[in-house]
Amino acid sequence: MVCAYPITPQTPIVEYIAEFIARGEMKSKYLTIEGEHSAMMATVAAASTGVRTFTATSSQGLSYMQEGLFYAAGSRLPIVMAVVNRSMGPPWTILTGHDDSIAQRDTGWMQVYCGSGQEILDTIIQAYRIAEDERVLIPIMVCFEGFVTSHCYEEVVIPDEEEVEEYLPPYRPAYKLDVEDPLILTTFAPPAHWMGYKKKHDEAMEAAKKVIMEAEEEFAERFGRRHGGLLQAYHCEDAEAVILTMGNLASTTRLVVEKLRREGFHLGLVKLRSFRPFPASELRELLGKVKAVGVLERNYSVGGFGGAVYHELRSALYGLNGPRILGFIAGMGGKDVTPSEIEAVAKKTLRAASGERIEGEVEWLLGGMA
Amino acid sequence: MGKMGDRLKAEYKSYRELPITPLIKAGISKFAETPWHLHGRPEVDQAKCIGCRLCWLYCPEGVIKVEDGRVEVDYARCKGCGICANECPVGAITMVLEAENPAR
Amino acid sequence: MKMTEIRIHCRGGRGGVTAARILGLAAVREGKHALAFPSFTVERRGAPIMAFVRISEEEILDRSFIYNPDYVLIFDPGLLNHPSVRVGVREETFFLVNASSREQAASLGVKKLAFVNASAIAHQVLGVPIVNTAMCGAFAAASKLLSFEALEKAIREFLPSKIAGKNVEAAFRAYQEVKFIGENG
Repeated sequence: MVCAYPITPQTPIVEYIAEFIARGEMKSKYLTIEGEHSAMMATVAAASTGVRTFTATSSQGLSYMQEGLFYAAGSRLPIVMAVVNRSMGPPWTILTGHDDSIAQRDTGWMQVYCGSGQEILDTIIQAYRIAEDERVLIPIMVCFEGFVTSHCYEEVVIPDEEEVEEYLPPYRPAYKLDVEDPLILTTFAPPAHWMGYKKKHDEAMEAAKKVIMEAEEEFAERFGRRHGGLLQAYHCEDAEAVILTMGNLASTTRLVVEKLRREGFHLGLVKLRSFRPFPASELRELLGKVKAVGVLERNYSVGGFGGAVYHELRSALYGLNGPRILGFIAGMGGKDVTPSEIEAVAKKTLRAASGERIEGEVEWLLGGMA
Repeated sequence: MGKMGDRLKAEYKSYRELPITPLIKAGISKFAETPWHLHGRPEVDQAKCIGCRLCWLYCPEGVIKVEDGRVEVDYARCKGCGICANECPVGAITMVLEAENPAR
Repeated sequence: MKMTEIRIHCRGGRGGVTAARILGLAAVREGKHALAFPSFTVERRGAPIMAFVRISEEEILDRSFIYNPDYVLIFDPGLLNHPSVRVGVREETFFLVNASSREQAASLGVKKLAFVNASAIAHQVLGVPIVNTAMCGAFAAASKLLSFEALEKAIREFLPSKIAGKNVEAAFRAYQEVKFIGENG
């Protein structure tokens, strides 16, 4: 069942799916609804009956469904939702920023960030495998930038339907609403139990890391494409400085890394795909011996002192005597992030790696507005 | 992991035994007796009763039966809310306070 | 082959974004890689808008906007003097403009220039002032980056079949009628 309420820049997704269903090309029910809160609750209800579900939203729509996000995650329903990232207004905008989905970090959903059409398609297919795995049973957001990624026309290989069905067998729910065997779902948990449910949820998140990697491996075997699972590392083996980023910034950053590599700099790149579960141990392993990491991200916690990824990476590497970590806030409210800006980020991180004293931990890439 | 669809157990030794989310087989109120009546027990004057079944319709707990013109209340599951007495168009139901469960 | 970056200047609702997608798709149908994307302002009909296309033999990593275009395509003669068309252009940037005359096009005063009367073609062939497919045809001929066959394929894939044929015709006329000015001419 698909139930979604249109919001720019997610609208084409809803329109195309509605068309696919109307033409009979996609075997699904489509439910028209009056708003995002209802869209999420209807999706929760449909998923509770044991069917596969999909929805999509963006920014204010995502925040409007927040109560439902907790409901879906607490009910442990493997809903797949596309989040077309758009900065939260005001100041009003319809353009990209990861601040909308980062604000929903603690709802208990998995979050994967993608940066190209192919990666989105492949990740949506994988997302069902991951979310529906009995070791996981957690809803998942597949996040990607509004317009710059969502409205970018590019080549996408569409896999064969039969092959996808082999990769993604029919969903067998762990429990469901059934008139033959009625259940009361997600009822009151007494104080002695409530935290136990949360602990189980957290353990399932941890288990999801393994499932994400398995889904990636089998996908690569069958379809010949790889996106990295939890994260993708380039040239990190001998890197002194590493740029860590999410979404389509990783693509442009790769260009910069390859250029600076040719110029002799020991620079690497980590494309963080899975923000929830956060691959803390994997990042410790990968970055523990690097001298400096520059975190480039499209979100910021106002009144905090950095973006969410910056905070979490520092947390993950705490106590290792590990790298100097610099934060770079960029690309919110639709601000473009250019290769030359990323090159400056890389050079600053390289300077930090060489031991140079750098004033200030977090820099805002404001372009001409600095 | 607790078995899906089972009633929740009264006690668990570890959180690991919990189901993934709280699930109860529907119909739990059949097992849960509520022999306390908040506003008293609804007593029915069968002579006044006109058999309209409004009490049956309004009872939120589904514990009122009307058979052969007689109104029967399942006092083991009635919570004593008083809605039936309030809705009865002929005043045939009176809420009677109980000595062992004094209201308020 | 190095990457080719194309910037289209058009007015909202006049097919500039669709042109970017058609050019991108044509490149893909020739086995190249392409990205096509609009400039993402809040769209208003008639307002100047930009759309971008990147074409390359290799996978395209740069996902930022286009600042130093190799080609600037101006769909509306009214935009010839708009400051945005000159932003980031270099001496070797090639301009392809929709203009009613050689003089009008030459008023742009750039070194590498071609023009086509796409408005006239659109009016005669399509009966509507949508010049995007004609401009795509002129671009294929002027740049030699795309074969007409690939462009035709892209137009037929992209547009509803009811209007695709006429648009291919408009593209083909522009493909034949495009004229170079100055250095190239």
